[in-house]
Amino acid sequence: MDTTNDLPNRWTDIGKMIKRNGPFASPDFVPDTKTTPTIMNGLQNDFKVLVIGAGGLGCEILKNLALSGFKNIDVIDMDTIDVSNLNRQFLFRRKDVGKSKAEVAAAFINSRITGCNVTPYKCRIQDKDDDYYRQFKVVIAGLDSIEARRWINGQLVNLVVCDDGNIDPETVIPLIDGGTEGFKGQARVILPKITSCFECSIDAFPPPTTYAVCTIANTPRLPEHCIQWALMFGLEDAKLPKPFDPKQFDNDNPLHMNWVFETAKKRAEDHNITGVTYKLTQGVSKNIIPAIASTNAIIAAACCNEAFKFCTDSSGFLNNYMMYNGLNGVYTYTFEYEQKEGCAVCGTNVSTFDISPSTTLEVFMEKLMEDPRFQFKKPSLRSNGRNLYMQGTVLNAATKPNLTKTLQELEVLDDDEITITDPALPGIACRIKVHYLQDN
Amino acid sequence: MFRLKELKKQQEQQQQQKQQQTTSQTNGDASSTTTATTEPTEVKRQNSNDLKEIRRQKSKDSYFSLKSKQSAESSTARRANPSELRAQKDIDEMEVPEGCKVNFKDTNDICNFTLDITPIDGLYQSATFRFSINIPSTYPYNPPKVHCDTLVYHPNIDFEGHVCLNILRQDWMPVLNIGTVIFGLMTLFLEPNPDDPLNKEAAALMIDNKKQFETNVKQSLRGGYVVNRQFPKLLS
Repeated sequence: MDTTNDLPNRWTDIGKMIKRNGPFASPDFVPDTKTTPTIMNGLQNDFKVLVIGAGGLGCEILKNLALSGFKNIDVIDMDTIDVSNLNRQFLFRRKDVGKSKAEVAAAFINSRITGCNVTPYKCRIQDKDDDYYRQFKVVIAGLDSIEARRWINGQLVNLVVCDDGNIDPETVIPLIDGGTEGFKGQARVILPKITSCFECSIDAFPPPTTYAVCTIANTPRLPEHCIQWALMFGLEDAKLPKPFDPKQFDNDNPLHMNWVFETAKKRAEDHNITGVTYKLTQGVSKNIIPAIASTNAIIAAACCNEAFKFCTDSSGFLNNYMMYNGLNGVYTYTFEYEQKEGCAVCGTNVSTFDISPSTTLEVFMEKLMEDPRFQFKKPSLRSNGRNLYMQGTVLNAATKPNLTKTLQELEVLDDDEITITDPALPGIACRIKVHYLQDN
Repeated sequence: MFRLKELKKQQEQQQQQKQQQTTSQTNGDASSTTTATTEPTEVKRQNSNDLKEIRRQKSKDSYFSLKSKQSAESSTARRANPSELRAQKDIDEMEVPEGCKVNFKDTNDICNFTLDITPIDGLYQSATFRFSINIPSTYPYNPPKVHCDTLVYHPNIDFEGHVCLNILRQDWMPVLNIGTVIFGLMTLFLEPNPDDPLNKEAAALMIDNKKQFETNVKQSLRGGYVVNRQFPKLLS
């Protein structure tokens, strides 16, 4: 452990958590001693934590982790700093506007907190591969999009090795997901394949605010309707002059946004509606969720505490969903969100299926249907983004000729994944990995 | 609360049992496995580095027993995302109502297709209207995107091809599916709804002077002019 830069008693408070046993500690928690600072070593050397998002939640999370003794932190964010971020994203200054959030946040933490090593990546989470994600002890997400949450959730579930239903615990990387919206927030701990995952609860998410097209087109009542009109109809209307190519519309470009604002304002005036502002225009077109610094602080704190407890075993962690509502009074509620049977992501075990590459699709399907593991009745198969065989009337004719082709001819490679849907399945789909046997 | 811990313990016990079995078979003596206790901190650090290696190894080869395939390669082999899985299920299991035809430009791309609706009843009977449907990557959280490619005189469809159907916007729910959307679009032709207008003039006319509205629809379908706009000839 490199303690040369450490101030004396720097980690005293953390020591109180990891040097003493307690009633809620994990059964095999071994407190650190002077000669065996195992947990401290873990925090400072071994445990690598990934923070996704360096925005409102991300700034708080990075600060909290660094101050809790974590030293190896990666942060991914593809966004750049906007002037409107500065009120709550405290790692950024006015001079940073336009720069990468991840890079500025990492540089700030590294210079402010001695010994902390934050590595920034200005990219999409989808740009990183399995090996990259495999190196982390835990992943904390402070995201504002369902899409990104869905992706990282699916990615971490896919890293879990599951052999005939036996989960290999070494491959389970917890996802701690925080989210805020105004005075409301939520923190949850997802142990991929063990507890419910993000996809299990996707149907329960409140749908995005949308307005009927006819309202937008004909009976606007709210300033939001006017802004939506500018974005939907105004952009397409060739008769409306625009200082840019509408096909290249970019809601980060002030020139474009100003046009949307002016167009929306004009429409609002025509319909005697007040309240169209530039800020609201930005909010509606970028789908910005109102953010409150203190809600971010509460949720980020909950997330980081979970990461700390998970990594140190010093106390039990959240099982598995905490919602916070500070809108009317203060209300929190913790409950166990249950795994959804047949969840498209975590409810589908990938089973391996041994088969010769020279088997025809028809025979392959017969074998699948005979296999008692699956209980298929009318399976439809796709692989690598291509149809193999579809039972439904819509694509049956197009895929029928495939039945007499061999798997090899259908370009199914050894170890490829085949997704199977079947009305008899409780969930959405089932996934099978083909394992080629050598022909004798 | 410590489910992961319990799992690990179980596995360790199983492994120990296995090891004991093998060592007792080969050696009959377990003393060779006990190494001198070095500094514990080093051991722990060594362990957690091992963990990373175990994770890599396990996910990479031992389980799927691949020999040559590298993870870089397997990550290029596309894994179907949840929206695609849902689309596969929707499309395969949907019942296409009479008068509807689904066409794929690329049959493998199940997230983009066109829908031809030929109403079997009502004002728009026997004319065919084409829609482009796109299943976004956020499906089913977000609804399918629908555009009407055929110019039509209809209270709920404007001349740019926007379609006003409640389940495509404010009333969308993830439990709905592609089949429901197709059904909803068909309903638009059977029962145009002048209370949710996109083509305001058509809707107003439908309420004020239904006869004239019907005449206009007929005229538009035969390729005539309505309110100074020529429509494509869909009926003879």
